[in-house]
Amino acid sequence: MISPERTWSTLRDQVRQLTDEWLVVGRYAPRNDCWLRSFDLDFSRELAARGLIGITWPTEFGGAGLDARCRLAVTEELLRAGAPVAAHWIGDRQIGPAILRHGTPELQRELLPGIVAADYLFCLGMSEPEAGSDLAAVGTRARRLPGGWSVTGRKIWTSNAHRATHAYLLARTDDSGRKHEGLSELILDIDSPGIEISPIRDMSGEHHFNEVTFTEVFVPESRLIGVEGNGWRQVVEQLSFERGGPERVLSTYPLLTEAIAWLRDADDDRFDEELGALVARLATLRRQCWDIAQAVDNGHAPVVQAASLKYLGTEFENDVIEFARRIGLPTSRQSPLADALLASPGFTIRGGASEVLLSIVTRNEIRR
Amino acid sequence: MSQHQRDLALSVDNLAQRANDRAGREPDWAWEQLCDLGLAYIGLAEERGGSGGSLGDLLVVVRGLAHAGLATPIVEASTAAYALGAVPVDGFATIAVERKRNLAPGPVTAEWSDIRFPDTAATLVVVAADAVLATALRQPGVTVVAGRDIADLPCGMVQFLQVPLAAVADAPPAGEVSDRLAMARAAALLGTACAAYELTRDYVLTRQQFGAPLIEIPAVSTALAQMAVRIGFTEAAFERALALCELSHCSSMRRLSAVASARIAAAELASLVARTAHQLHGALGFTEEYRLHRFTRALWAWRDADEPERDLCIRLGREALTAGEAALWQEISA
Repeated sequence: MISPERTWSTLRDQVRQLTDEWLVVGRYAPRNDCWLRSFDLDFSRELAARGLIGITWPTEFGGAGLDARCRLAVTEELLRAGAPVAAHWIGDRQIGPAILRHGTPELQRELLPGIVAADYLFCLGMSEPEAGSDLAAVGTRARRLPGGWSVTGRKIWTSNAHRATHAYLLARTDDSGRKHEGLSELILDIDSPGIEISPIRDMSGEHHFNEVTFTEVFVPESRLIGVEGNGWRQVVEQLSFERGGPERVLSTYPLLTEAIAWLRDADDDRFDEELGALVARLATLRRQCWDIAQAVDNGHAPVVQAASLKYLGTEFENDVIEFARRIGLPTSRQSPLADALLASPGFTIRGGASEVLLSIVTRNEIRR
Repeated sequence: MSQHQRDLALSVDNLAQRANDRAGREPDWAWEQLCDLGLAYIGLAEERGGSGGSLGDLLVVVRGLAHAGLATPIVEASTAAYALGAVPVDGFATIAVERKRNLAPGPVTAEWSDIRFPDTAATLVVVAADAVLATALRQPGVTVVAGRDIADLPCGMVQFLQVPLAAVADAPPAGEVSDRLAMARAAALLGTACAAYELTRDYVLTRQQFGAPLIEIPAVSTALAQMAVRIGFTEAAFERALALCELSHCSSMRRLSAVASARIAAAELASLVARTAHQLHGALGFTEEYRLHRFTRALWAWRDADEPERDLCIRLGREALTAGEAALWQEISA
C-alpha cells in the first residue's frame, strides 16, 4: 500500500521529468499565465501519454482513480514550471468533473477517455455580452426539438474556442420562470453547423479570447449534463472547481522564480522583508489550495472557500509582478515582467471578479 | 477541533463569564483560576507540573481567553514553563526573545525593554538564537521599571547589573521555544481578531443609517468580507504551522518557516482588523465604555510582540534567497 506522500512525490517527479526533458532541448519556454496562454497540443498529448490528465477519474475512463490532493501535486508542479498546459486544462479541471458528477454513463463513456487522451479539448461557453459577472442572466436559448435542442445565441470571452474540439455551454432551456431556473448545461461539438468563431485579441496582442455565435445549432439529448433546468445549481459546483485551484495563486510563479534568481545573483538584501512577506503569503495560499482539495476529496463543493482563495490568490499574483518591478527586473515588451503585467488584469476578473467573490463571502457571513 | 478541545473551549468561556463579574475588583483572579483548573500549563508533562495534553490543546485555551478579552500571562508563562521544563514553584515565568545580542551563560549587564509582566513574574527566560537562558527576577542586580503597553498590560524595562544568567538544563532547542511562543501569540491574536470581527459584524447588521443596516452600504460589506477572508487565511496558516509543530519528525527549518508564516499572517490580520473594526463602528467604537478597544489595543500591543513582524519577514526572505527557489518550493508544497 503506497502512502499518499509517496504517491504525491512520485507524481511530482513525473511532471518534473517531463518538463526537464522538454526544457533541456528547448521545446518550451516557461511562461507566466501558462494555463491560459501557453497552448501546445504535443505537450498535452505527452502529459496524457504519461497518464497525468484526468488522474482523479475512474480507471474505466482512463483515469487513475487518485484524489484531488494528487491532482494538486501535478497541477502545481506544472504551473511552477510555467508549462504549456492550456490545451487540456479546462477539460481536466472542470468539464471532466462536471460530467462525472452529473453526466449519464453514456456521456461519461463518450467524452472522458477523449479528455484523458488530450484528443478532446474544451472551451467554456458561459459569459455573454450581457451576462458576465451575472452569469445567471445568460440568454443563449436552447429550444426543445425532437431528440435534442436548437441553440441560438452568443458567447464571449471564450478562450481557445478556435482550437477546441468541444464547447461546454450554459444555456436557457426554459425562460418562463426566474432567471436562476431554466438553465441547462450542454456539450457541443465545435464543428457543429451553425457555430461561428471570431477572434478577440487582448491587449497583449494575443488571441485566446473569442466570440462564438450559435445559429440554430442542433444538440442531441445525449449531450445534456445532468438535469434540464438544474444548470444553475450544477454550474455553481463547477465554479468551486474552477476557483479553488493553484492556478489562482501560481500564474506568476515563474516571475517570482526569476525575481529570486535576480536577487541572488545581485546579492541584494534590500528586499528581504518584502520577499519574506510574499513567501509567507504564498505558503499559506498553497495550504488553502490543499484544504480545498481535501474538502473536494471529502465530497464537498467548497464554494465560499474557493471564492476566498481566488480573491486572495489573484491579489498575490498581482503583487508578485509589483515586487518584480520594484526590485528592478527588465520591463521591455518581450520581458517576462511585461508579459505578466499585460496578462494581469485578467487574474482578478476571469472566473469570478474579485468584487463578486467578496459578495459571496459577505452573503455567507450574514447567514452565519 | 476534538471533543476534548471543544470541552476546553467551553471551560474557558465559563471562566470568562465569571471573570467578567469580578472585572476590576480582582485582576489576578482569572490567572489563579486557570492555574487551579489546570488550564495554564497544558502541553507540559504532568510529571513536570503541567497538565499534559498537546500544544493544540493549550492554544485552544489561549485563543479562547483572548476571544473573551481576558488578559493573563498564559502566553508567556506556558511557553516559559515549556522552556524551563517545569512550572516555577514561586509563581510564573516570563519570556523574551533575543535576536540581536550574543548572550552566554554568566554574569550579564544588559537592558531589555518590552518585558511582559516584569513586576509579577518570578523568573525571566531569555531565548537566543542557540540558547535558552534563565534567571530569577527578584535578586540583587535586577531592576524592574514597571510600565504598560498600549493595551494597558504590564510591560516594562528590566535592567541587569552583573546578574547571573544560567543556561537552562535539558532545555528544548531554542528554535522550538521561540516557535512555541510565536504560536501562542498567534493564537492570542487570532482569538482577539475574531472577537473584534464578530463585534463588528453584529454592529453592521443591526445599526441602521439611511433607513437600512450599515451592511447595505457596499463599502461596508466589502470591508467586512475582507476581514472574513483574512481570518480564514490566518486560520489556514495557523493550522498548517500547528500540525508541523506537533510532528515529532518535522525538520526545524520547515517548522520555523511555517510558524513564521503563521505569525506574520496573524500580525497582518491584527492590523487589518484593528483598523477596519474601528472604521465600521464609527465614533462609538473608540469610546472607553464600548468593548471594542479592549480588543483593538490588544491587537496593536501583540502584533509585534516577542519578535516584530518585520524581523520575521526579513528572516523568511533571507532564508528564501539563501536556500534558493527549489528549497522554497519544497517547503511550500510539502
